[in-house]
Amino acid sequence: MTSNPLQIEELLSAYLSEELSEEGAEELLRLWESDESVRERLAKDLWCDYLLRLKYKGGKRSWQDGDIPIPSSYAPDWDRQIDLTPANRATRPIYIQPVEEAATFWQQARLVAGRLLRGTKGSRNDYATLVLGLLTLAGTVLCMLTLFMLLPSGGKERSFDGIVRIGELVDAQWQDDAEEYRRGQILQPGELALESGRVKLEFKCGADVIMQGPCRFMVAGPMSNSCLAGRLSIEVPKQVKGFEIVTPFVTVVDRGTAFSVNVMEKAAAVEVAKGKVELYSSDRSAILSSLSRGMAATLDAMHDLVNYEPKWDSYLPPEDFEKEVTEHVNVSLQAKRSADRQLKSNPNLLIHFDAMSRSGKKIPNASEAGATLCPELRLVHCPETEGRWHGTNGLAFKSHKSFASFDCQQEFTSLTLVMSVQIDQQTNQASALFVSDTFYQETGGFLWQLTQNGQSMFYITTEPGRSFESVSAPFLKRNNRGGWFELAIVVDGETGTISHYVDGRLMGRTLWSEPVPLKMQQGILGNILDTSYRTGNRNFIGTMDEFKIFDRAIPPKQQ
Amino acid sequence: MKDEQTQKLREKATFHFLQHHDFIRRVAFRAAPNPSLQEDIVQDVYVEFVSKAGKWDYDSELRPLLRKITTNIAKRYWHEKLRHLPSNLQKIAALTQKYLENERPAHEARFDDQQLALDLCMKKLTSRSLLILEAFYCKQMKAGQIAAMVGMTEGAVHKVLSRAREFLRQCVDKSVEGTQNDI
Repeated sequence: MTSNPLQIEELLSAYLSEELSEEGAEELLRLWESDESVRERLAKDLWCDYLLRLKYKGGKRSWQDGDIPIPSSYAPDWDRQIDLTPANRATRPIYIQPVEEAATFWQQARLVAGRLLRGTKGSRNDYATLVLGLLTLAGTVLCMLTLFMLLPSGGKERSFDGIVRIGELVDAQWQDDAEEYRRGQILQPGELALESGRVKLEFKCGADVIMQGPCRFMVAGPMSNSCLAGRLSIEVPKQVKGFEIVTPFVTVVDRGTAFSVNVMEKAAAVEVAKGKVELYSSDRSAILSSLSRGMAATLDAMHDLVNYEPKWDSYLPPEDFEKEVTEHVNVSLQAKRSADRQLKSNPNLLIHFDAMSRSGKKIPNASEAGATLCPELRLVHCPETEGRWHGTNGLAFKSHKSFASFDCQQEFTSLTLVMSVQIDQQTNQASALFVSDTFYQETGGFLWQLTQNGQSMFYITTEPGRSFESVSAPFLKRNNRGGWFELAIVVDGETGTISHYVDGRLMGRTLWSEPVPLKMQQGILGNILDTSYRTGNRNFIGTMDEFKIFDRAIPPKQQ
Repeated sequence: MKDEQTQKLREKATFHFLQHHDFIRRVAFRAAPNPSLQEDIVQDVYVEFVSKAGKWDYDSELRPLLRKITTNIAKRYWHEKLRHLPSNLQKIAALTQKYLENERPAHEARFDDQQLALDLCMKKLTSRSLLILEAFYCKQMKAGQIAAMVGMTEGAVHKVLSRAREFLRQCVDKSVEGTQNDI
């Protein structure tokens, strides 16, 4: 049956508006039963109507994945406030007071105690509450004391996505052909060849292994790894049993200890600083011996075991390594601070936000030239975390709500952006590093982001709705994830080039035939808030340490 | 300490609720295909789920449980709504609900992606369509009132609304399928 489309539109809309007359309802019913397209259209219009109602309901979108609010923070999202106390559940939808103001057990207990202390006669319930409260308190204290006595100190499983990561590096030089490793970098199974210096490996299980160069270490698994040559100092928490180091001569199995292993040409030496280890043949087929605190032994290929007085030249106590790290970091930090002091008065440095200068939810602009124009960086959902250097602060971007913004009305012929980042994960289609508020809307707006392929990507709006893009070679791979990078974009309006740098190395250059001035009024780090040109989240997930903008093209060494 | 524990359980329940938010919305819509009921249904599902936060096994699959809670609450609202409708409208509503349950799955794209796509698509509407949509959804005016405001007949207003919805629906579908130019 052919239906009049105009009539159908009118009827469907009237139905959705709940304004359909009796005759209209009869006609719509007849059409619904006879015309498949009417059923389909109504079903789809209902859904669209739903989306529109939500949009116009204060413009608020529904929750987004990743939120972990407490129930009371949801109360403002509803027309009514929610009280989840048992007395009110049965009488919903009567809502009396917000959750955070509902009388809690302890609030009641305090009231009761107050009444009793004042000499007011309490009810039976009051006394019961008080007694229960005191018993609970006593029980809690007892439990805490017991746990405190029973629990071993330190060492719990670390939360990162991998077996082991690079913890700290002190003057680390890697052997020829070896890749440069970064602090925080998550390691894939394979050999690490350290020429000199010290490197701490942090295992997910909580064990720490300090390589002392020259040393060759094979990352194999969460609990069993190999030392092919050189010295290791190992700390394993008590609750982690069975962490082992395999050498060509012996397999050392930890039983809750601190010990060292020195693999030499013809033998391996094991010295135990704390706890106990068991020594097995290298193929784990036979147990050879066990060593306790203060004991040391060498084993050769014939499994000949010789005990000796420990020299403690391979074992490095954690506190000693910590001191070394601090001294090493201090040297680097001093150099950085000295460079920053010189940079402060650079007339081309417009913006310099350093997470170490954080004050609450703001970071002041350290640049003298830009301090008036662009005074501060405002932080939203960016908690403190460890920064690029040991013992310093960084900004954690953990969720789609995280971003930082600053006001800075400026136009650039050339521009350099520099940022220190540690990338935790890339679950979004792209991760926004920086975007100007004018991007996509006005000519000259710009966006800098990381792609899922590990490339740096830079867009410049050439006309509203259209952008020119420049992309680097992939630099972020599975085996360098978690490490710190210094990224830079150099836009040279005079030569018409856009260059991508990673740790000072050129990773891509694009010729830009028709340069336009770059513009911004507000800059946003770590997220794209404007939804008009993207679907899905684009938030950066990781840590940022430092951000700089120069108003001309600056090569890496001068940044 | 118990207070803190309760709070933590509520947070956990809320987190899991949010993780299945899209799913709950889809189930609610199919069980009670009336847009004006949806927020109430979802809110009640949330309250029901969080009020028994200590009861659920969060390590197991929560969808069957959430489906059950949502369907029960949605049906309660739906039946209440139907009771007050004239018989022909009751029939259309009931048939539509059956149709959605059996014939057409609810939209599978992420809800938030659809909302974002809607924002983008609305910029492509004519100013007259936007004006009428705003009057209808934001100011909650009836078609007759809108007609008087813009100098059209009531039927014409309904047609504009219907066409705008059709356009937006197609545009949103296209966007979330990734055929639209996306940064």
